Amino acid sequence: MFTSKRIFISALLLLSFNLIHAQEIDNAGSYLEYVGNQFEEISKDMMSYTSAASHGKSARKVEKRRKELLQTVKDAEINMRKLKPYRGDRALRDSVISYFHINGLVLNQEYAKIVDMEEVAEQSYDMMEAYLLAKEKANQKLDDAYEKVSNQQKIFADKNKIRLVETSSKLSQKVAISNKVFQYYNQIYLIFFKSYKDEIYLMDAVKKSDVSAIEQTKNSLDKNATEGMKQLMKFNAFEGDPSLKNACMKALEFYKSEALKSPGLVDFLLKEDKYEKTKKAFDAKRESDRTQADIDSYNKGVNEFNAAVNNYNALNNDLQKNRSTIINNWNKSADNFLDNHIPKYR
Amino acid sequence: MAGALVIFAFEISKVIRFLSLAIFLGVFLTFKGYSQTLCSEAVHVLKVLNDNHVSPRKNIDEKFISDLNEEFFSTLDPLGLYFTRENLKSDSVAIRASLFTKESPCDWAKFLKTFYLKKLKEANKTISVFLSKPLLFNEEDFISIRNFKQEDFCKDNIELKKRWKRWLSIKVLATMYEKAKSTLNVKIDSKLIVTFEPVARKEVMASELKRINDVIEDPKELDSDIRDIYIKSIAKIFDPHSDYFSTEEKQSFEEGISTTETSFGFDIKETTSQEVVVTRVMPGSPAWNSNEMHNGDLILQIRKPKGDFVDINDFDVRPSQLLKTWSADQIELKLKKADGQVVIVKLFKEKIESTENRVQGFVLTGQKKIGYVSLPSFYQQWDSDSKFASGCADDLAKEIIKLKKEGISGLILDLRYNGGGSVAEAIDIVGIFIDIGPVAVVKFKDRLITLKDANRGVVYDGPLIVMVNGASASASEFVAAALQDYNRAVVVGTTTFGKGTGQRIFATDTIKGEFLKITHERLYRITGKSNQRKGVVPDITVPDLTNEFTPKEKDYNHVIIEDSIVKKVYYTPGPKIDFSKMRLQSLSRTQKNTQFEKIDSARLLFRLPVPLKLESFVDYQSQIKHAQKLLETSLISSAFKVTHNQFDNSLLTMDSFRKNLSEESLTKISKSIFIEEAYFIISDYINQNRK
Repeated sequence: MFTSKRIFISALLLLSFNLIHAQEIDNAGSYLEYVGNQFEEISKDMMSYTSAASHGKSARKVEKRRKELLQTVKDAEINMRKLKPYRGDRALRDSVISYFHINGLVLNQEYAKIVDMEEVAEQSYDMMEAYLLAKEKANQKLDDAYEKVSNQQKIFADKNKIRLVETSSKLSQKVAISNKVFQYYNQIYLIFFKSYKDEIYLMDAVKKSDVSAIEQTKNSLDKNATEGMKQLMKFNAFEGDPSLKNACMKALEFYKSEALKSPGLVDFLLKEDKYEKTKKAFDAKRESDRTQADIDSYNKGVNEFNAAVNNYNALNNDLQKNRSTIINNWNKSADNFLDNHIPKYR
Repeated sequence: MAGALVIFAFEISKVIRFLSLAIFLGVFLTFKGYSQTLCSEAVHVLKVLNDNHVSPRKNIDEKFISDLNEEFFSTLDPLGLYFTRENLKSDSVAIRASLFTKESPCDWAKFLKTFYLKKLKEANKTISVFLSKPLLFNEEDFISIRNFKQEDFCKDNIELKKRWKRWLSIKVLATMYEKAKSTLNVKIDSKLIVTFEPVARKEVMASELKRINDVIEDPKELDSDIRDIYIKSIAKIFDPHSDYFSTEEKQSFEEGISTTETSFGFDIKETTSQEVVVTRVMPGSPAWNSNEMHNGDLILQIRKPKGDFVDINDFDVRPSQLLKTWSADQIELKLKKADGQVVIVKLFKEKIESTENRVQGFVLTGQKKIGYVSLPSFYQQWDSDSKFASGCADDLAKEIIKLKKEGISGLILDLRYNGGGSVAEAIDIVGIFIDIGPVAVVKFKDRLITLKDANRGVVYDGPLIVMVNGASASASEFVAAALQDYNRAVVVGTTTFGKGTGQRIFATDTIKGEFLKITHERLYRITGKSNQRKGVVPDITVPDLTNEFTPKEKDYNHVIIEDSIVKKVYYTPGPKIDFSKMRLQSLSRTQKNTQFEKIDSARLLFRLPVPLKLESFVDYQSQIKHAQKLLETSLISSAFKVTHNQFDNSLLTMDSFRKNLSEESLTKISKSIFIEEAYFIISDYINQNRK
């Protein structure tokens, strides 16, 4: 079994707090700045983690960065909880606490605490699908929480006559670029993943000689690969780099061709079944009772079956070889894509 | 007893058989020594039922006791020929709530037995007196036998006597008629029939008295019968599918489906109304391969290799023992199908070959090329020896792939007479036609679970017709409903049986070797609605006669009432199918088709009560015979030519047995007006989709 690269980092985790400086320095401004600093710390660690994951650092190192990030998010939540509401106004403070809290849960993949897992189970048909759906729903919650923070920030500023100005630090630029890269990457990854998963099911069905499942999954593979290609055509190269799109297209072309060749697998199983039955009927006849037509028919069956065996083997070898090349190519392209486009940080 | 009176057949022999059955009940039930432990066994059985049944009955209140009395006495006396309503009010005879308390003495069965024996003796006397004088059959009287519901008990002894008179009269009349028929005279008129009155009356009297005396003379067996009926009744008041199996019934079930010995490959059960019903046909067995035997068929008569057809109840051994003691390798059975047709099937014992011939795909070639596959039950893999052994879903998929190779533009899946089977297979069968998605919801006592087809993709995505009738039950209804909810198929035929529940087997740990079948779950459509009691209503109705002869869920006592659930399920149905035009087209065809006209007139005839006046009876019989003949004379359809799928051609050339089966199926398909109509409907459907 070939595994695909499963990086699917949420772009939403990279969102940052817009305001760092306030025009009028007064208590409300300091309050906002304090809040902004919490976001700044998280952004630093987030970028550090993203950079490590995207530039071929060891798994151990990536995990270390993730834990650091998680701790920072937790600390930020504690800091916010300790912060008193500004002149009795809790709205901004509470929205930030909620956002940090959800952020921590998402980073730790504790989706059950944020989303209705029963609903996720209703809509999913395997663990990977359930995982992706839970993640998607969790990110949606995070997104909503961020939206609230953003609104409260504006209300707070208006109330306290603060003009918000967007600033552009080096870090925020890196965060913005990473967001863009991951947005592109994730969309293409999902297109690839749909067919990749279909193929896993197809191989499983072939292993079990389950004709019904082979026929169903190869039709699904054909449909999803074709739809994926159509979607992919709408994508441009990323900043002039077509490598990820091309690798995905190549993979989909392979999956499509695999789906089109799969009737050969079904045909083999049907012919094998028929051969077994024909042989049994032939063996059940006494030699003296066998007519020339019986013998001819039996021999024809043997030849047909042998031809089906050869086709099956050739088909399997061919698919095996190409599959390996395609998956390696995809993994390499995905690695290179992130390595080339995610800014390096720390 | 619910379903007890499903008795009418085209042939009068069935009436005789029925009457012989009706006279005494309980004789054929299992032997088990009755003891004082009856009450504690009953308490235990009730506990197992309450622990596992989807709708427990924990309160032993007035309703519980009245249901139990009704169930028990209508099982013991399904035609109401022994007890009167007055009798059943008696404290010593009726079941009472105190039987379920530890303190109370468990003496009811003793009183009941004494009383029952007294009633049998009274019946004995009634029969002797009534049949000692010649019967004139000159009164305008009728007997209604087309009734799936339990006969009410008579008010008093006067009414009871009248009922006896009718039943004995029809029995003698029927015997007279059979005897006249056996003279091979071309004209069977009242003059000829009446000559057999003395001998028929004598025969009926002898056999009826013998049946009753057999019971009176073997009181020990009666103890065990009362015990078994009592325990069964407790299960049955939960719902008609919950049941208790005695050791003997369990053994019979296991032996009937033996894979190591040669066998005919079917299992039977005696119903409480003494009918013998086919309860299981093993895939790949001689019974299965005959294509003539289905679950629910009634066995009327049996013929040994050398001999005449004999009523199944007239053998020396009980029907349940008959197959076990059947030494010959051949058996010929006269069966009554769910649509009332009587067919004769000849079987030769074989070691059951499960993996072959189970599902066969045919091509109907006319103006359109349509695939046709019939699935008689939802069987699961049960032979692990063969690499290819698999459930019906995989077999069906293979046939569809073969049919696709021939370029079919539509498919007919025939689920008529399919009494159900494995739910897992039913899910997979729906999955053949839909992409991943929920297909049903199961409700247990305390939770809801969505059943899903987890196989991505479809095997067949073209136009699809599912054929159903009143004998399509359980898993068939599951499949038809799911495909209907997805707008994936046009369901054609008559309203289905209406079983929206699932059963599981539970051992009764205090009663060794026995077990309970308990309704453990309820099934719902993905819309949250239930098929329970109502059945699946076809999108296009094509009338048949199944409803005239087969009881449906709603006809049984203590039926679980349908309800609905609210559960969020996520599915994407296809575009709505517009049935309006197809319905009109079908109606216009069936109204013009003389075969369908004959069905309509036969239906009216079958609903009439049977006259007991000699001339009217003879007239009635000739009408029935005529109707039967008309129904049996079907012409080969000119709309299409039927062929076996090409892929298996070389196999058919080699295997003459398989070829014969295929040819029999070819004839049956080409002569079926129902399949022909399904062919027309799918053609309309394809044309409609093109526009």
